[in-house]
Amino acid sequence: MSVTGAERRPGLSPVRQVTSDGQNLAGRAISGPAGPATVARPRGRRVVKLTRRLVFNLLMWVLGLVFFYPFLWSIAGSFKTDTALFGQGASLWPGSTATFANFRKLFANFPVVDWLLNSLWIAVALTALVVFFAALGGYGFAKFHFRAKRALFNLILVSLAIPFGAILVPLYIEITHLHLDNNDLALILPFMAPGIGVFLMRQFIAGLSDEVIEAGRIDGASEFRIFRSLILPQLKPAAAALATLSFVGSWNNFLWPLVVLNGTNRFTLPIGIYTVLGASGGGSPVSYGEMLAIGSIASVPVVIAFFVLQRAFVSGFRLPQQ
Amino acid sequence: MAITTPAPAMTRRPPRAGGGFRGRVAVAFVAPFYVLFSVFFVIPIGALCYLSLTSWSGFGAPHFIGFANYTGLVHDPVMAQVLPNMAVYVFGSLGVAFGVSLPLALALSSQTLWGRSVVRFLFFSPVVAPTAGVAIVFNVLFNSSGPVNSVLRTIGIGPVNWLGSERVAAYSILIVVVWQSIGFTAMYFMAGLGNIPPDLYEAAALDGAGRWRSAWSITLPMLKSMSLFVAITVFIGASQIFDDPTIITKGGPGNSSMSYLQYLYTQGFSYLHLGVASAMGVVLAAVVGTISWAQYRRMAREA
Repeated sequence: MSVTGAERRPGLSPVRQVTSDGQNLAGRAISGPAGPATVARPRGRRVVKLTRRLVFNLLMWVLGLVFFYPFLWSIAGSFKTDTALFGQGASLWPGSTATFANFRKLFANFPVVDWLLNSLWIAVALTALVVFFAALGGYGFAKFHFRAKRALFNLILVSLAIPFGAILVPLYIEITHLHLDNNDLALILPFMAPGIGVFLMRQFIAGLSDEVIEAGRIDGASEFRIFRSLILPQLKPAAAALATLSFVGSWNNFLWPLVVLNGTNRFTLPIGIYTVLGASGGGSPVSYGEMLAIGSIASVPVVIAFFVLQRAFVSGFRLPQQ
Repeated sequence: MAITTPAPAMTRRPPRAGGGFRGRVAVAFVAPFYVLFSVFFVIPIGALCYLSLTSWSGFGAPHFIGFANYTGLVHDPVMAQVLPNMAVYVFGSLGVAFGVSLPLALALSSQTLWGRSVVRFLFFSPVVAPTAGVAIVFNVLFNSSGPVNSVLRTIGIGPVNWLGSERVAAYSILIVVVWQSIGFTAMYFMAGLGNIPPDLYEAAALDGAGRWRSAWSITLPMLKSMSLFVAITVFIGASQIFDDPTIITKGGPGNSSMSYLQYLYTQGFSYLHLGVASAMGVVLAAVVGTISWAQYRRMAREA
């Protein structure tokens, strides 16, 4: 979002201000004619402009809160008894019925900490590996010429195009043959060099200048050293974009762990949640509040990851542009 | 930008110090991907094709039966329920991606939005909640006495049997799926918007182009490849929806919200019809793979 800066910079010539106005139009911002700001606008126009802004902001905030509501409601609900949960309908505040019992019961009856740690370590390890291998492959494709490059790149597109669900059965069979079922590695190995990562990294690295690489060669650095010391540090935005995809994907992955994991202590959080949910059937003691409690716990790391990575995602995600 | 296309390669400076050396090093860089790709993708695809022609429960040896699994699918009444659901999920998701996420991305990129990063978070919050958690929330929200119906009651509608009605269930699942993904999809579009060089707008403004004119002539064309990417990503994602119907409705009532992948999973891991599940996998890979591969190539070629 390079747009922001120009407008605030003081001492711009009128022409410059016209252009900065133009940028804002692109971001769907300022209405009214693009003219030097030094010329006072008619009062009526300014009122119209302000009203428009007000309506726009009001609309966005209200819609945003509607979107946010289920999330907030679930957090609030994890502090309610089931009677309050249904009795209070759409209200958020637990009031006098607020209770920690859901969390207490949850931790007493299920290995929630194990699940949390499993999920966390798998997501972190996978994300680090994904970024590394994707950068490696992307660099190879972006900065080198080699035989059959086109065909090999098309293979990456093939791997991107085929839904994972299609290979669910044979991959599971393969994993059991490798004796990796019910093992964390089953959640890491098959996904650590994703085609999408190579694709995005290639795109990003292609935009970097060749000069650094050439300078590194002249200095006699090894090819891998050039990659590690000169290329990797430049990849932060793309790495953040890829890390967001990878972390959220791993953290929320449900189908594959459901297939390959079978020991309760090995579970990741989503499978744990599913277990808690399953235990609620047949008159067992799991309450809705407990289900919401584990849902809330599961959302915390991703909220943090999102805050850290969101801005970088938006600036680091590049595609072929015409 | 792209190195793959021959034309720029011609105009580009030839590689220094012997392209041969550079070439050999490149192998080391791209090799890890292809090793993993072979082990965890090519082998499973091969096994998938073979297993789809067999009858196998996972024990003993697979029994070759030709195309019987495929003809069985054609006559399977559950498939007749699953495929329309798939259409609902795919077209619903695509429609929302371009009808809602794209305008949302424009709005969230606006300079005049107060508290922009907070508003962004409000819209992205569903992304960060794991589906399993989301499912619980909507199980309660959509409950007959839950908040959604209690809100609807105050304005004189309902109660709607969101999850218990065969006619409504698939659409309720779609609502949840869409609620979760709108923000993420918008994030892709915002990334696309951020990559538009600002000088294009400067030039347009100097030429006297108005707001709509520059939106039409700059923003939309410049978002073309990102739109293509979003279309493919949403398409692939929606074609293999699994979590929401599994956790929220278990595919019911009466298979009315069952997704394709959910049925594949059921065939493979509940009924142990590994041959049938594999045949479903081949069909999924062939149909979705062909469509999205063609689009990816289009996008890569535009580079």
